Amino acid sequence: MASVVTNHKCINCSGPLHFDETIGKLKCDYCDSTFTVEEVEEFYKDKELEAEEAFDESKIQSEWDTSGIKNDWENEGLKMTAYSCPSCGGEIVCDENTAATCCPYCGNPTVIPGQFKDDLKPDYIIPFKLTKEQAVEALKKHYSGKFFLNRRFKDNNHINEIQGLYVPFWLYSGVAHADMSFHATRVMRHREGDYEVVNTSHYNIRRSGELKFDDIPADASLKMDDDFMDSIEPFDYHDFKEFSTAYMPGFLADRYDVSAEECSKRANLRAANSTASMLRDDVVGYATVSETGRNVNISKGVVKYVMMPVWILNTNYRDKNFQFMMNGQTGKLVGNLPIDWPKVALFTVVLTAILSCGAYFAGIGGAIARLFI
Amino acid sequence: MRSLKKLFIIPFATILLTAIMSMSVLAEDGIYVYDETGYMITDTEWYDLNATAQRLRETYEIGTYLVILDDYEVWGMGDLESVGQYIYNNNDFGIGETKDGIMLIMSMAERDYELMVHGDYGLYVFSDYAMDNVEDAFLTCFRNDDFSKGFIEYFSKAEELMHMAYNGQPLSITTNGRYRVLSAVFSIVLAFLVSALVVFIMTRGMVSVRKKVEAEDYVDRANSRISHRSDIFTHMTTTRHKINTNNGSGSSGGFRSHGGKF
Repeated sequence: MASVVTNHKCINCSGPLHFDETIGKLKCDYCDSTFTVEEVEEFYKDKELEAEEAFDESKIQSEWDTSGIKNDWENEGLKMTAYSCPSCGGEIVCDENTAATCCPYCGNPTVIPGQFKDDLKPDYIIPFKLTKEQAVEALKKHYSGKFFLNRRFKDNNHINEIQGLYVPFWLYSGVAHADMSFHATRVMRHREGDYEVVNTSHYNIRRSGELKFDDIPADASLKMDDDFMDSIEPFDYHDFKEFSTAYMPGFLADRYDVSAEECSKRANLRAANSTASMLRDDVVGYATVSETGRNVNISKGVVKYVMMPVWILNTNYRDKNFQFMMNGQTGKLVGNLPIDWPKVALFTVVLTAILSCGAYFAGIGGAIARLFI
Repeated sequence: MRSLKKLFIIPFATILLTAIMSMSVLAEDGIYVYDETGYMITDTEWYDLNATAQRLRETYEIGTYLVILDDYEVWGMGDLESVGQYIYNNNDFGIGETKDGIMLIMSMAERDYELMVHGDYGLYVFSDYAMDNVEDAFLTCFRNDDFSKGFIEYFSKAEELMHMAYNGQPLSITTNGRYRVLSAVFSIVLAFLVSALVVFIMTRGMVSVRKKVEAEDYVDRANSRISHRSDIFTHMTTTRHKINTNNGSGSSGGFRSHGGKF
């Protein structure tokens, strides 16, 4: 039976190929030969077709037989899939959504073309632009200038794992139609003798409009934290390439496991909020404005399925795992750093002591105290 | 009490001219208490109060004055403070080069008062806090219509403060224990709030993972528009509230003044 996975190997020496972000081509680990994506696609076209067909046939057969070990694996076991590495024959066990990985035995980058077959094929991919080394450097830069970061975290920092991962995304385009109502006031004051007269004019405000959106992203992977994915936005869509598995070697990839319908709720909410903000910002010239009604409809437009590059870095500190993610195209890195709370407390106490002396002798505290005496 | 009634007559020009002339004369005679109304102070009270004022002048070299008017508006100067300044300046009140003195002027028509201090030494003796103390001494009595006691309290308190200043320790709010405590507390609270704000700004950069709730990066502004706008006036509401003119204080023309209604 044909293998369901493919290893992209060097045409010259059969060494493993990986996608080199710096040159935008695939490069051989052994002989440094480089090949364009198109060359590799052409070379492995037939093999990928065979792998896709084999994928459908072997899908059921490749599931774990967990009857004997069900108590340990339970549901997790049912989601695992095993493939045979075409290079060394070793068993590659991975998540049922895994689309690209590497063989744990021979280290060859491995792609499962069946995960991108037919409707599962992404429309576009943004190739990695930044290297692993650049990701590490970005992380070190992320630490710098953080006064409340524990020095031991920086000094003893060891990055346990760096993974380049193509994350599946849905991109939503459409039009949001909104109709909003507000209550607003204008205030005029004047003096009549010993009295201050305040005239408040009340208005009913209505605004309607439409906002066109292009490609609002929502990650389609349950494994990826939505807040992290939001934080590394935006990606530059000008770098979109037609999807090809040739971009995958050397990186991990998952196909989507959250449907477009489910993800659309997040995109719709963002579109609705932006539309409401646009209408709200149009109400100007009033002392107070408060929303009294809102009706937003999102016209369903085009949905695209794309793969976008993310570097994931995991580090350990005091038995806690800290995760950082970097946009593999723009370099935007996000991740919550541990706050040294004892240092924060000490800083607060010292600063309070210094400022309170200043405030006391400058008479600022006294000026406020006078109001109460 | 020496009657001052005949010295203040209507109309305004006559009143003003006469007032100036008569008060000038009276100032030279060592008169410190003036009652235009003729009924606020008995003769005995007048002698006692004037004698006290004379003693204070000789002991502490500060003039202490009490002026009671029927209605300051007759003077046509706008407010009681202006009338008080006029009377003080044009009747040679005050002692020494800088005319040091303290004056309580009252207008009985609308129950207005101004407590005014003048001169370098006068301002040294009677700080804002000290003037508050003098006000507190007589206002309670005035509000109970016990004017006799109020006048005594005025002179008594003024003497007490002059004595403190004479001993090199003029009454100041900084000597008030409660003030010191509150001052320290508010300084600490304010400093803590500023420190907390600084810490918040510094730690905010350490939390970089944030959910996005809008999609401003993906808006096609060229193809977006507001299709309908309507702003409809519905009604107007009006509120009136009295401006609190009580216990105002300020400085002008070399005077420090505290005033209001009793």
